Formats: sequence, C-alpha cells, structure tokens
Amino acid sequence: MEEQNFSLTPRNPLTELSELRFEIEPVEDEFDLKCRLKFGTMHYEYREREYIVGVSKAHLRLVLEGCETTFADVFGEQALAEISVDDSVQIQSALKGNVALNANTVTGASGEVDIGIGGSVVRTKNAKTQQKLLPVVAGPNDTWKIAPKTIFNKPEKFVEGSAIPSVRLCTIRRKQGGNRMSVLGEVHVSRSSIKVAANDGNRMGKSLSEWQNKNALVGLLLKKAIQREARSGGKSNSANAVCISRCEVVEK
Amino acid sequence: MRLLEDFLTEQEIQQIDAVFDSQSPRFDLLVATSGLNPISDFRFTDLRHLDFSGADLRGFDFTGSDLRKSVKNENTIIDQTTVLQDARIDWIEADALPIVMVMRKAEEARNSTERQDVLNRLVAEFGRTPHVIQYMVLAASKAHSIEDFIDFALFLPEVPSKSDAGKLRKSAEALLKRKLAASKRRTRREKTSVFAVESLTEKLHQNPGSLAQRIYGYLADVVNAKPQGSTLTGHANIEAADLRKAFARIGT
Repeated sequence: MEEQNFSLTPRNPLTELSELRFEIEPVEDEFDLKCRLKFGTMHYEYREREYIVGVSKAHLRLVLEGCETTFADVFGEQALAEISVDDSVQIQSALKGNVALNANTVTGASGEVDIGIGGSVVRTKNAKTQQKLLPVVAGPNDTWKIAPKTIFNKPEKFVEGSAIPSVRLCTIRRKQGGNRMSVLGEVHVSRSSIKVAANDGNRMGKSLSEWQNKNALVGLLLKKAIQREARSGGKSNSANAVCISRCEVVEK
Repeated sequence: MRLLEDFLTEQEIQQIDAVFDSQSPRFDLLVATSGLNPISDFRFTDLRHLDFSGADLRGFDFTGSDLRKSVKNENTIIDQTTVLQDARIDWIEADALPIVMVMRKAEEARNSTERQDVLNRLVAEFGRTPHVIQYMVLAASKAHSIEDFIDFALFLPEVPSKSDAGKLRKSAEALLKRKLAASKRRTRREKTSVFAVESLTEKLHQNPGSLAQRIYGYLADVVNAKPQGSTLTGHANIEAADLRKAFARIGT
C-alpha cells in the first residue's frame, strides 16, 4: 500500500507548546508508524512581568481502528531493572601485611569460614541495580509516558525538546477482517502537569508573598485559558486532563 | 502561529489586570478579585509557598493540590467546608500578631531585609487598607534615612493621595539631600556622590505597582530627557541631580 493512501490530520492548537505528527510507511505487509513529538514553552509578558508556561509530564495514547500493533519492539521500550549480585568471600588480616596466609581454614556447614591464626574471613554481598531512565517510556496498551528526569532523578520542570524525533514509534498491521485503518494519537496532560513559572528576574518578587500569591493566581488564569484553547474543537477531555495535541491518520 | 496572548479573551486580560492591581494580596480577597472559582479552580494545582495568612478558606476545594510550605496563621479560617482531600500539606505556621505589633516591628527592624519582611507580612495579612497606608505614609515621613524611606515606598500604592504625596515628597527630598551630602563629604567631590545613588536606583524598581517603582519611572523620564551628550549608547548616566528631580515629582 502506498503512503499517499493515507490522509493526515494533525491538530496542534497550542503551537508553541506541543507538536504531534505521524507518518505511515508500508514495510511488506505491515506498516511502520513514524512519529514526531516535540514540546516547548510559551511565554507571556504583560505589564513588565513575564510568565513561562510548559508541561512537566505528558502521555501519548494511540487509538487504533481496523489495525493493531505487532510484537515488534516499540520506541521507549524499558526493560525491568537488572540486578547483578556479587557474592564473594574476603580474607581480612589481623596483622598488617604479614599474617600467614597458609593458616588452616575450616569452612563450616553454614558457609562461614574460620581462620586459624590472627585473621578473619568476611563474606560480602554486593547488589547493583542498573536501569536507564528514559525520557519517553512505552507503557501498556499503546501508550507512552513522557517525563524526563534530571540526574538527581527529579522530574524536569518543563519538558522541552524532541521527545520522539521523527522515528518509528511502533509497527502496525491490518486486523483480520478490518478494511479501513485509522490511527489516532493524542497527547494528554493532567491539569497539575501544566506548569506556570513567573520569571521574576532580579526583582525581589520571590520574597514578596504579595507577588507569590498574585503570580499563582495569574498562573491559574493562564492555565484555564490553555485548557479552554486545547478543548476548543477537541473532544473527550476530562475535567482534570486535557488533550494538547492530536494527529489522525486515516486510510483513504 | 498562535501565541498565548492571542487566545486570551478580553475577560481573562481584565481578570489578570484585577490581580495585578489588587491592593490586598490576601489570598481569599485576591481570588474574589480574580474571578476564579474556589470550588473548581483550586483542585489538583500547585499552591506551594503561598501565603494564606488571615485568609478565609471556607468553601475552597483543594482536592489533590500541593500546599506544602505555604504559610497560615491563627487568623486563617479553615473549617469542614474546606476540602483538603488528597492534598499535600505541610503548613508553615506564622505568628498572628496584632496589627499594632506588626507596625512596631517594622519601625524597629534592624535592617532593610527585616523591615521588608515585616511590611510584607503586614500587607499580606491586613491588606493595603486606609489604616495600613496611613501608617506607612507616617512611618516613611519619619524615616531616618532614604533607604528606610524606600523600604516603605516599596509597599505604598503607586499613586498616593495628594496630601500623602506632599508629606512623602518633603521627607524624601530632605533624606536624599542628607544622603548625597554625606557621600560628598566622604569623597569631597560632587561627581562621586553618584556612587550613593546606585544602590538607591537598584532598590527603587524591586516591586512593580509601588510608589518606589513610580519614582523609578520618574527617574527614567528625567534621564531620557537629558541631552544626548550625557548619555552613552545603551547606558544611562544617572547623576545625583536626576535622582533629586525624580523624588521631587512624587505626587505630581
């Protein structure tokens, strides 16, 4: 099937905040779903004050009709943490440098070791967990979570940059009996993940509770405006989450 | 491309204006001014580091919100109608001092930072009522130094009443004269008295919407009106005389 047999409808109402775009590429009997997902921040300057609006966490969800994802690997696949255990026995000397290493050692049934002259044996067990913290993690049922972390494992204040840089997100295939394929992707953010920060510069605004309270309320007004804008023309938004970008690819 | 300001409605801009212009930073009064709804707009929101001193929080729904490190005191009203379900709470308890005590603390403050903290609390909890403004005008008029005067000016409304402006101008001009004379005495040169004004100009523009900020605006006007010869490209050359002229414009 040719690529031009699909029609694409992206909808990114908050142009500075997020962009979602799909492309479908046929590969033999299956299709690669390529995705570009970018996040940015919006700036609002008013009466000598500046506010930065962004999101700290988002979810990408796919709704597939007439097709399904295959078992091929998907973008952001995160394996469960690997634990490597290093179990070793160390002989420690009681005298510096010259304890006779030819002392008789007796290994008990418990696995402990006794040493004859002036020394002791310590059994050490080191466990090490290795895990990569991916900024985009594939979840169950065709979902992806976007939540970059700092090196201290704290979430970043704003997601900014390419989350999925125009690469294959997953592979899909036509469902048995399905005659028209459609792929809908939506980027959802919870209300608490929309962040507004006042850029106070060198003013003492931060130490003034007057402006802390005022900034918080201006932030809520901006968030409400963003939620309203994201909802306009969209559908199925809950009270506490909003869809900031969507893209639909439908077979003609 | 649509910017944030492009989709703010006239009503939302008016709401932001109302928050900016509010003379009382007390949380519940600000909310009433902003048009935000206490029942629906404060759920699942980031409300950390805010000041709820003296606020009447009855009827507010903070479900799922983060209120950590926010300040409350004995005068903060929370009852069974305040919804705190799943909210993250770690209050900072502040002393609830009678207004007279707070005013006395402002005058007895050992340094500028301490005075600003106290004035901050005064305005946050009691608002800029006529009584509070009258106190600050009186305290600024009796200030011992121009720095102390500016501390109060940072919390005074941008446009004081005619009679208040007269008192403030008289006091500020006398204090500034004393400051510049002391600076000149130290260096014995007229030109070097400019060093005295640097810290003052820096201090003046720290709180938007205040009398101090207005004086800073006057100073900008004075400097801009100077002949080209005395300004360097991109740099303002502020002289002691400019500062005198700016302070002389209080209430004009």
